[in-house]
Amino acid sequence: MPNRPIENIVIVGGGTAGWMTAAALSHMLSGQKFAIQLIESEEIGTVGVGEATVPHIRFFNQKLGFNEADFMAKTKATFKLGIEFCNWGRKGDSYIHPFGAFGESIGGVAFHQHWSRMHRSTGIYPIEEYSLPVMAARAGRFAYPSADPDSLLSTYSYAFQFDAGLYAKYLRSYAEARGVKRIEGKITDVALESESGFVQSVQTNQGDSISADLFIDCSGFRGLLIEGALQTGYDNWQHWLPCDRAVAVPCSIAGPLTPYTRATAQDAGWIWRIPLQHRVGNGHVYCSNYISDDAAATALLGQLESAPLAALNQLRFVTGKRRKQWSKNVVAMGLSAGFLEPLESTSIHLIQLAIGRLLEFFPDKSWDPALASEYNRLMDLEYERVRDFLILHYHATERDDTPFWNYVRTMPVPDTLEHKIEMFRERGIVVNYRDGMFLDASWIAVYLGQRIIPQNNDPLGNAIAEADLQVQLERLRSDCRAAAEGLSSHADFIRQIGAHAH
Amino acid sequence: MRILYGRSAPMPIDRIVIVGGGVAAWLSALALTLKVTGMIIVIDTEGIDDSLGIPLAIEPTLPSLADLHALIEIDEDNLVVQTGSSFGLGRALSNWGPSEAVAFHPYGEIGANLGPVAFQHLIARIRADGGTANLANYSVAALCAQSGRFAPYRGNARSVLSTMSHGLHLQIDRYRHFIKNAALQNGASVVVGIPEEIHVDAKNQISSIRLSSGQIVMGDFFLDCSGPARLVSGKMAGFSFEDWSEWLPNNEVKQSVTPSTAPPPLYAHVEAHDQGWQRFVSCQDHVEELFFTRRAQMYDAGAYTFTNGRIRTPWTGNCLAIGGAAAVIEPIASTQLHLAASAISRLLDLFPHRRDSSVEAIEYNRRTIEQLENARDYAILHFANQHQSKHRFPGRLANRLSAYQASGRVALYDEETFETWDWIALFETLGIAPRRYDVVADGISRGAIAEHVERVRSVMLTAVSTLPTQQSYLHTRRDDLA
Repeated sequence: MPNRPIENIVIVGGGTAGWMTAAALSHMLSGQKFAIQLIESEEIGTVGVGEATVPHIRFFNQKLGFNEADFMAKTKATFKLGIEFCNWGRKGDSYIHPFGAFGESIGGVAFHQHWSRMHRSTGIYPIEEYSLPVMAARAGRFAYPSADPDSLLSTYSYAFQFDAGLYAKYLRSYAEARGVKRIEGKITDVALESESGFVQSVQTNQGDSISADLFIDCSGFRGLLIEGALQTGYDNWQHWLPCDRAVAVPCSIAGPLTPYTRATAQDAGWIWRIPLQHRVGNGHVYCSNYISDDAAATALLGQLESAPLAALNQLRFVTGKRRKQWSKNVVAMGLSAGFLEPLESTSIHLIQLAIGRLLEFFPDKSWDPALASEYNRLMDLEYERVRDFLILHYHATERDDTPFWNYVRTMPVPDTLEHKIEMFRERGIVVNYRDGMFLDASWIAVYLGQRIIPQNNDPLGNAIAEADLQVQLERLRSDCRAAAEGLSSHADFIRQIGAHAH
Repeated sequence: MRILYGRSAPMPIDRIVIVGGGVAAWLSALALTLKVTGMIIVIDTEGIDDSLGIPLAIEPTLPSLADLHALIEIDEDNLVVQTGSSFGLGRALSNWGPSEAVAFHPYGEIGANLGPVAFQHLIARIRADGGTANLANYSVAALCAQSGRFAPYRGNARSVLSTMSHGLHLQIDRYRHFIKNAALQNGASVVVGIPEEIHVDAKNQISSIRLSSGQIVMGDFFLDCSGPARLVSGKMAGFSFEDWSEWLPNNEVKQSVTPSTAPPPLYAHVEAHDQGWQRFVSCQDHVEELFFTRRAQMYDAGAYTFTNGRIRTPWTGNCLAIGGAAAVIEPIASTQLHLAASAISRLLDLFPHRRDSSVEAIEYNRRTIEQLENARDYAILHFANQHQSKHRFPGRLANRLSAYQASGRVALYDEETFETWDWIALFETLGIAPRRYDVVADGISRGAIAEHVERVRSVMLTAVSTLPTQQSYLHTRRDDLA
């Protein structure tokens, strides 16, 4: 039906975003007359901070037909049941945000309502003891979720922690096998059509001039096309998410292979720890207003579990979002679309989402403006909702030990987030929306993990006597513990399914 | 779902007063007697039941009503048998678009995806290739409605029958008796009378209501289920009404109800006219005909008049308006009972933890207003081809329309009453077609698409042929339940 179908698609930039896009388009558009080219340069390193993922990545891999064990072996991947947050609500605190719910509703009233009621009256164990994935994560154990809805093993999902560079390679061979043409080169110039202002072609340092109908900008922070050429503009969110630099370095694994990522709050930012099969990825995200690069690097090196395996990789960024992620004939994906720090491992998911949406709103040469406008509306919603969730981690704190924490604790937050926090604090109400990747359970995990405990609970829950409730809660707690102890160790499980790197 | 064993902690709200006496009031009362401890008192204002907005003899309900019925333990088969109601699978729509053929809006899903490509895009591709295809031919609900066959499907999701949803054609008078009896049996009490004075304190909290008899009814929380009269909510400080006549100008309905013993069609029939629209809906022993129009100069004594719109704040202080007291949307898309039922579910979800609490009201109002505006927009869309269309659509509806025309994808927002297929069925009815379809559909051969849609249809036809007629299903259930 497209009257004048697009013929040429050029992806600018390799890396995770570029090769995910190339792989997905080559698969989804196979059998059609699209020429897909990807321009990248061996000289430009990729930012590989997106090593930890969320469960949605499994659907992406399944759609492309990847064998999970093979994919894990080739990307040296580990399983991930959640993220441990240390020192966020207060110094010394630790909670896990799992890919799964806490407990289940009792008498039609949500579990967290009962938990907070007992918390206020007789006291209760930490909510994580009522979550199998958290108990399994703490014990360093893993198993695939069960399909049987009656089993406690059906109460969670999982994701991966992998080497993003190896994942890009894996995707590259897949995409090239399906006809994507890789062009070596650095972009030196961009030519615009004089009337429409559309990108006409890009020039490379190899002397190539490459034209296309649709350009996908996967060039990273700089946004060579979306910003460099089209000057789309950027919504700056630094007043809410003030961290603007990161320093990253891998080291070898010194402890057990944990099936979770760790994010440990620092004086002016936080340090990630992402265990892979062959090494541990570490990095310190910080705010340069409050700490020097040297001090940030020293803090990171001081917390490594073993000697660094490479030189420090220094990164700079501005948290925010491109004003239009799709402008004219350029669609930005990955870091060129916006930057949200990897606190909740959202980078790869946002790329995946953008690819899916681009296919849904795929243009033809008539460039119907309603396509870009609806695409942008939906992507804006996603970015804003991830943003709010990230801000919550900083804002919901009692820490007053450094100027950084004093700032984020007291800063004004977006109205949407203010409303959510208020509703939960007052009465345990979880405000949620149709769009937005984080569901109720995630919000509950972070609220409770960072000491926003409902001051009042659902009065309908009071119909259950406390003694009866206690019996049910205790049963659930011991079931979670027993089920977690029955699982294989994470490392053993990876070997059992043949997902270990050879 | 009912727990309720052991000792109960005291409830912060002990007396709930419901003003109305119509379906909205008794449905609220029944739900509250089952889910909340404390006294439930209904002030029955008697008279015509416009508690849902517009008084109807037969309410063709949306499938979602079953959720509330399940929560309050109403067996729908028993309800249908006891009340002489019947089942509903959608709406036949005529004269709404350029086509003279009757369009059908079925409940449930339509067709089946082929790999990653959604069914509407397969149909669009067939049409682009010069073929013809009618979406309703690929809906179990539509095929059932066409053949008169129906039995509620209670099996697993592997059968194609699970793609069908159904509502009811509820005889409202008997339904009201049914739920009223259940509520009274569960401990609700009733006072007959008309509120004359509402005692509201400086904090906008009602303490009591004085009836015209002089009797004073005290309460902690008040539900206004008195329909457009808004006997309680209309007296609260800051009350105001948002009039939607700009987009929905009809304000008068004429009704006739006639006895009928013919097998009731499994659908409502909604027909557009120059001056408004007409609806026919049947149950086991009656047919109701409604004619909605914009009031002529001459006042028609036999007509019921109304104004489409909503109150600005459905829950204010300790007063919550439910049903027609909260909003009136002419029932072109059968939303009246759905909106009241979901208001009741939402109240149970956000029940106030103490008398003067405002936190639940803030979130309740946010969700409710989203829901009402989305349902309103669906109603407005019906008139896209009529004289009303000269009025500009509200912004969100305008975006839905332009996004659909550009991409064939339905933009959905929070708190929707109607999901993707409902919007597509209406767009199709109106002759609004997308300019393009999913690009991935072009990677599938014509033959494979044709084979897929044919297989979908034949699987559906086979499944539908195993069902009894609605009449014979109702006979069996009547015998079983007797």
